[in-house]
Amino acid sequence: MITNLFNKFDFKNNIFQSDNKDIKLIKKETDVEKENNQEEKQKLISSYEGNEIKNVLIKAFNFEPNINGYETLLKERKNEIKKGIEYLKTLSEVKVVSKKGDKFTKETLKDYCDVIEVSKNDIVNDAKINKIAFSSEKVKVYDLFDMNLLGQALLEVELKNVITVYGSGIDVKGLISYGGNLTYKELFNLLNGKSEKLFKVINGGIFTGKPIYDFNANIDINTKALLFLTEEDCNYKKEIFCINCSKCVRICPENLNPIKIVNHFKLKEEKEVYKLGINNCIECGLCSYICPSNIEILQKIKVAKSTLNRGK
Amino acid sequence: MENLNIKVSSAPYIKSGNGLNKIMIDFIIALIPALLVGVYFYKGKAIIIVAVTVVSSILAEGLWNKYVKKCAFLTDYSPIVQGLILGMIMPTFVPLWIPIIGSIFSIIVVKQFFGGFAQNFMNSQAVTKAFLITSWAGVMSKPVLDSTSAATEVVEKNISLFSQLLGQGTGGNIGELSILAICLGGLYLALRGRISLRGPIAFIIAGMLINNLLDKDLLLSGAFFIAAVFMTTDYGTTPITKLGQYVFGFIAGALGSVIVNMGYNSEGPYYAIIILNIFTPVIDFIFTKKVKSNKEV
Repeated sequence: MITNLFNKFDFKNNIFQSDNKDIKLIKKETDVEKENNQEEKQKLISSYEGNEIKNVLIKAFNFEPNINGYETLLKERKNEIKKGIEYLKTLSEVKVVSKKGDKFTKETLKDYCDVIEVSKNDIVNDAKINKIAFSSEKVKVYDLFDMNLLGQALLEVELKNVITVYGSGIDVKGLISYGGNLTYKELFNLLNGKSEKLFKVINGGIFTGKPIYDFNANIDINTKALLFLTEEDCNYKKEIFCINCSKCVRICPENLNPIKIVNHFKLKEEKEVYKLGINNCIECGLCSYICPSNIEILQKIKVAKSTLNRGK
Repeated sequence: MENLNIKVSSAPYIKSGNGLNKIMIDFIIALIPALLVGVYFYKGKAIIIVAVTVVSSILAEGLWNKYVKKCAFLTDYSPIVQGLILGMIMPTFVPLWIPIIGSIFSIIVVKQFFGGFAQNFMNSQAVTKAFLITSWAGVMSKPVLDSTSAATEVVEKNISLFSQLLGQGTGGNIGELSILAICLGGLYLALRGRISLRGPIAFIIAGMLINNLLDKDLLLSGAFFIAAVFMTTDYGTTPITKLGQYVFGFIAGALGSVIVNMGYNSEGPYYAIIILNIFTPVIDFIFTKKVKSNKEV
């Protein structure tokens, strides 16, 4: 309650909490252990080369609340992550960023590269983290999940992707690892999913994820999190008029005024929309999350951006 | 073969669960302490006036919704809150037709003619009070019992600061008796995240400053606190930007103190609020950040 006095963002939901003590292994019963072909591993390694950007940041946190469990990941997959960081250091300068109060990351990785701490208010915006770490604009940002995959490819073991799964449509919660090419449907059945209740499937976080419409497609190798939601989780409500409560203005990490941008765009005033800073919007989705009138602010700003840029 | 029916929508996929009705319930809880103090001192009359105001507000909004807008009778709890605040700033010696006319004016003319909740440009309760005072001045002014008995009853009492804060019952509108109860309500609203405390604090500090400059007592009346907590934080009529809220509260507090002390009018804060409501869009325009763009034409 006291955080409300100081306008700090606090996410409270019981769906995305789990003990996260270890990484569960999920695999098909008829699957034979086989090595992935060399082609896939070479493709993964070469995707990190060929960049002209010389500064690289590795994040040990994520502002999305369902991508969590970084401590357990670092504990269980220490060797792969260290191997990945070593390889990247030969290409460019590397720094690791962690949240303030996270001592485990600093202790484990401080011999390998610099570890910088970032306060809780700055974790949403990548550009701000770049400025704190490197004081320049052109930086490439990776994650500890990416380092795990890269380390596995370098150490020539089977590629086992580690992801987090949450939602009321399945029984398992937390970090899991699976091997080989699985489709969404096979993973859903392995996790004891209830198919009558399934309402939405999302790849990514709740603010910036992508919806899945083809249940029989293969899961992408760069996935970090999956959500299997039921209708009660989503809790859809109708959209009403703006009540001028100013919550979207307080929560915006770039200090913009989202609802004013939407209203000026409806009146077709292009100059005002540019002056209010529409090109600075990082599309994080926090304004739509907190609106009491359930206005879809993020979607309307995206439409405005694409309409204005169409003639350029 | 199972047939799966999965839906696709746009981000974000889970919302915070806030809604207009939850905000209105928090406002009702915050108004209860001040009402209880008024009922304790004024007994039966206070209950009747507040109840009549609330019921006529609900009826006015319901009839407008049903026959003009053609939707459900009540879409949300907002007429209850507006009726409660209007009842709190009514005196106890008025006949019953005054709150009825007042609530119809505040709901239909001030709120619904402009589009609904939070689309009006002046605070509905303060404008209603000003309208009632100017139209029926004789009925709304405090009745003097007798010229001789009033002159002989000048007695100076020493009232301690603590009982002044708690409430004396010596005069004032229904909800203005106890400063402590109003502040408790304001603190509850701020802790739940419904209002911010910038406007109220600036309002009170400006009032105390001008009182000090004019050599009057530093303890402000209950009207100041109701205007500070419930009217400088009204959705839709007050600025959105942080600096704008400070400026609005400061100027309104200064104006309110000037009207009370130099105009001998105890409803000063309410007039100050409606004067400053007209300047809200200008204040917002000055304090919004503007981005310089090198847009090529």
